[in-house]
Amino acid sequence: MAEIQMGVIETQFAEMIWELEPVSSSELVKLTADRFTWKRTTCHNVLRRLCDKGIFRNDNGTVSSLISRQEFFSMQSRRYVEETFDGSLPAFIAAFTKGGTLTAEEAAAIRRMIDEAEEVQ
Amino acid sequence: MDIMTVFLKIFNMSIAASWLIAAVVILRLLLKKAPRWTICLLWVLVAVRLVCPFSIESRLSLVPSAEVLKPEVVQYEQHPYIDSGIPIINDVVNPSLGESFEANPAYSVNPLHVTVAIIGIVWLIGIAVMLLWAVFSYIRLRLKTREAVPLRGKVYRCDAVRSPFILGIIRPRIYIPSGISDETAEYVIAHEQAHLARLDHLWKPLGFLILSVYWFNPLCWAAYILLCRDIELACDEKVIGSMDFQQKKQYSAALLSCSTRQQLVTVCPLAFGEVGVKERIKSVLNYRKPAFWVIVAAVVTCAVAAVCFLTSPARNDQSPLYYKNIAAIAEQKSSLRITGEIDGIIDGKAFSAFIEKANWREKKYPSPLELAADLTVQVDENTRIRFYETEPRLAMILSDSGYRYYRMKNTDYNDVKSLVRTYEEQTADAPDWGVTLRTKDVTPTGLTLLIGQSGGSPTGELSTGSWYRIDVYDGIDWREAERLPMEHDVVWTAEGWMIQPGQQSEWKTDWSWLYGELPEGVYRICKKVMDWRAPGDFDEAVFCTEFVIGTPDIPEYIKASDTAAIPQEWNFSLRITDTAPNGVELAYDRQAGSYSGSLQAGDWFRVDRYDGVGWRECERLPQSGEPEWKGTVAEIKPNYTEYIAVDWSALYGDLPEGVYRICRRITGQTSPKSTDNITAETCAGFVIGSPALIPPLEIIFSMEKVELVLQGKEREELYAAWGEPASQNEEGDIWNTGVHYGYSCIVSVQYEENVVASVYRMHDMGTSPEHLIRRYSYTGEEFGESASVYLFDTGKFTFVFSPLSSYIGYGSYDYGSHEITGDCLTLYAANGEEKWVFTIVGDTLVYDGKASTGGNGFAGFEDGDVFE
Repeated sequence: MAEIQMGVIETQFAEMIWELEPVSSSELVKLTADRFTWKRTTCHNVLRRLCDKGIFRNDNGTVSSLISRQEFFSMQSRRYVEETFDGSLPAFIAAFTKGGTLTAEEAAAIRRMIDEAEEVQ
Repeated sequence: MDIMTVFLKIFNMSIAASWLIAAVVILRLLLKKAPRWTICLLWVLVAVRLVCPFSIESRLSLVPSAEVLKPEVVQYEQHPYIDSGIPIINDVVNPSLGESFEANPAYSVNPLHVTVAIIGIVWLIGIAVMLLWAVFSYIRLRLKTREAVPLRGKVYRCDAVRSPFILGIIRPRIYIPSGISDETAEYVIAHEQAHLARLDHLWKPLGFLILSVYWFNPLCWAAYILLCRDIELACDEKVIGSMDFQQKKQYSAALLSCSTRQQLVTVCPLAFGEVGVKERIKSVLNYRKPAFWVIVAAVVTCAVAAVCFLTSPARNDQSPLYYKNIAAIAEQKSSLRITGEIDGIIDGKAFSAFIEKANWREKKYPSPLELAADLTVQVDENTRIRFYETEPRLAMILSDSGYRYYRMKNTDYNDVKSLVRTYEEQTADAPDWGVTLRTKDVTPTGLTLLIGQSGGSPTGELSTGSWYRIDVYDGIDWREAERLPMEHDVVWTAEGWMIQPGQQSEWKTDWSWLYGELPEGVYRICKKVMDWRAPGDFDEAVFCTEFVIGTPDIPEYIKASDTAAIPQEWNFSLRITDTAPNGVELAYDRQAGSYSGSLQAGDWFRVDRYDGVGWRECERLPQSGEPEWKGTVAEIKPNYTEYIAVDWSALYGDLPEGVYRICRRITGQTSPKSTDNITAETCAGFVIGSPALIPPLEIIFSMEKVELVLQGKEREELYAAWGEPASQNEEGDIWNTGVHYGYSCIVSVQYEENVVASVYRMHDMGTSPEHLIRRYSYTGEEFGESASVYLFDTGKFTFVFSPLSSYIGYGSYDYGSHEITGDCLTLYAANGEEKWVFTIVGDTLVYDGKASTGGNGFAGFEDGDVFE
């Protein structure tokens, strides 16, 4: 189950469901329209995606969780820390290696440059 | 505007802009210490250059060529060429270009034309691809950001994006990745809001739009990529301007964190990706507020770049149709002729200055408009500029090589019009400007005029235009020689020649188009001279000088009894090539004729002077006797011209101003078989100095009297009207004829026995030709015209006795009922004293000399003579 991932916004949406479950999808549409300025279709898209990931299920308009909030965060905590960039060098490099235009060495060098920089006057 | 024209325009603009781009790339390096927004300003210049189809021409321009490949070259040039503005490039490219795209005149379309048209289509496809890419990128981002959630204000967070960007042009929103920490987000948002404040979300798409059009130019891609970097750097500077160093470090870290997530294509057109993060972080960390003088220097640099690269080089267009080239021509002319609805002249320098100042744009028309020009400036023989009252912004330059339209400023037409001076031929007495005219190389169809200047009191610069007039002397007065029939009025071209003070200039003319081949006679040529002080401030005067063509057919005072006329078989003519007071240079011209044997020319000559009435030999010096003439000096062969100099100083001395002729004798045979030599005399006229030929008589004619005032010197052989020699008369004497019989007068000038000129003047007293009923003439006159009685339906008659008589009968006759009835016609003179009586016999009148009291006015008829 380690490959189940959610983005920050998806997580906020999931939190909403965990808090209110079981909840009707129309209620979710209303809520997301209010808080997220989402359209109806957007709400349904995100919901379907989370259901496809196996976190929630949608039974004829009633949404409930397959994985509890606790279960999910215990699986995802490490990843979340990486995503938020708390400033640790290893996390930074891990995030970086996924893509981008800098090599790991370059990024590290830049990081060092920032850290070691002294104010020029 | 076909695709080819548009593409060539874009192509040429792209090359012109490339120079600016290259300059900005270099200036970017030099302006490292300057605030980045100054470099953004430079990119604005690039955009202006790429967008604006026109540029001001300037000598300061560093752009080598504004139009490398000209549309007309592509379309019409047989050997197409480029004008890169750099000779080496032209030399390398043009030979192969001209060869590989050589136009075959048999085909209607140039191969280069076809090639460029195809490239034009490819270019359009490229634009479409670029724009589709932009649209696709935009849609992709819109889809991604559907799930974005508002953070605050315009800021949204979104799972699906990996780096912050701004999307939207009218209502731009900032999107930041959802996964970044709040602290990082603050810096990122500050950065993006700085973008919004700088309107970068508009500038960047605009740049991409321009790039879409210029996608074929690699330099434009470079420019776009650098622009994106400079926008980021400028934005960073804006954000960190108020930060302390620690904040700058954190900001740098935020930049780094965002850049590592980068997934978007860097040139993604409508959103902001992060570019060159290392460079940016360095700039941020090393940022110092630039010194004031650095900002000033950077701004000055921008201004200089604008002047040097937004302008085009002053065009090096050699075409006579290029309006700026007119200025140089006009400047050389004192005045230019104006034709069209407005007639006049325009000062050459003023017009030149006008053209220099003007900024016209070429305007394409497929064919010359059928517009009648209101004002046409004749620049030179081949070139004119047409202006239109109804289209005051339009000008057209016409020359041998075609036409070109220009669009002018609104006020240009009136500016030109205000320069025009309407043109009036002035024939007043020539002022004392020290101008002298002399003729040379006179032929029946042209001559060379030597215009000299010395002394006098001109007030400005003297010059003369193309205008001239040839007058012929009829023995009494000058009148213009008869012009050839022409469909249109003569248009005098507007070139001018300076008359340099103290110098002599030559002006050659050929009037065969205007007067044809002039017959022998005494003529004068009149030229208008302008005393030019300032534009619009000048005087004009007409100066004339006499010349002679051939030997005028005026009764000869001296006849060489032992000579004949030049036989036709010889095909010989005599021509004066130069004159001086003490001699002439002349040419014996001999064309191939039916007789090809050589002729002999002796050294005999005689110089005659024309005194206004006839020729007489010049007075010889007292000490000179009859010279010893030699029979043969020169052999004259067919197709041969022999030049001879004649010096008469021993015989006549220096001759004063006047009209002269020199006569030579030629001896030869007319056929190979004949053994008899013929000696023929031939003369050629010339003028020394600038004499004013004075008519022998001034005729003052009024209702009461006719006065003849003798002009000039005593003229022994001159007879006028009465048949009395004028020898008793001296200059200024008045001959009053008395008007006994009416109000008309014939004055004849007679030289010895020959009438050389006659003037008939008459007041219209009901005797105009349309009233004429019939004319009876006396046919028995042995000499001159017949005496005639003219009867008019107004009841008036005139009785013209003889051309030699100044008297003419005028009065009333018994008119009756429009018919001559009865057997007697009495003509009553208007003075009530005289009358003439005729007996009517059938259709004729028989003069009754006994009943008549009016006399016959020296005519030959007597009592009983018949008028038919």
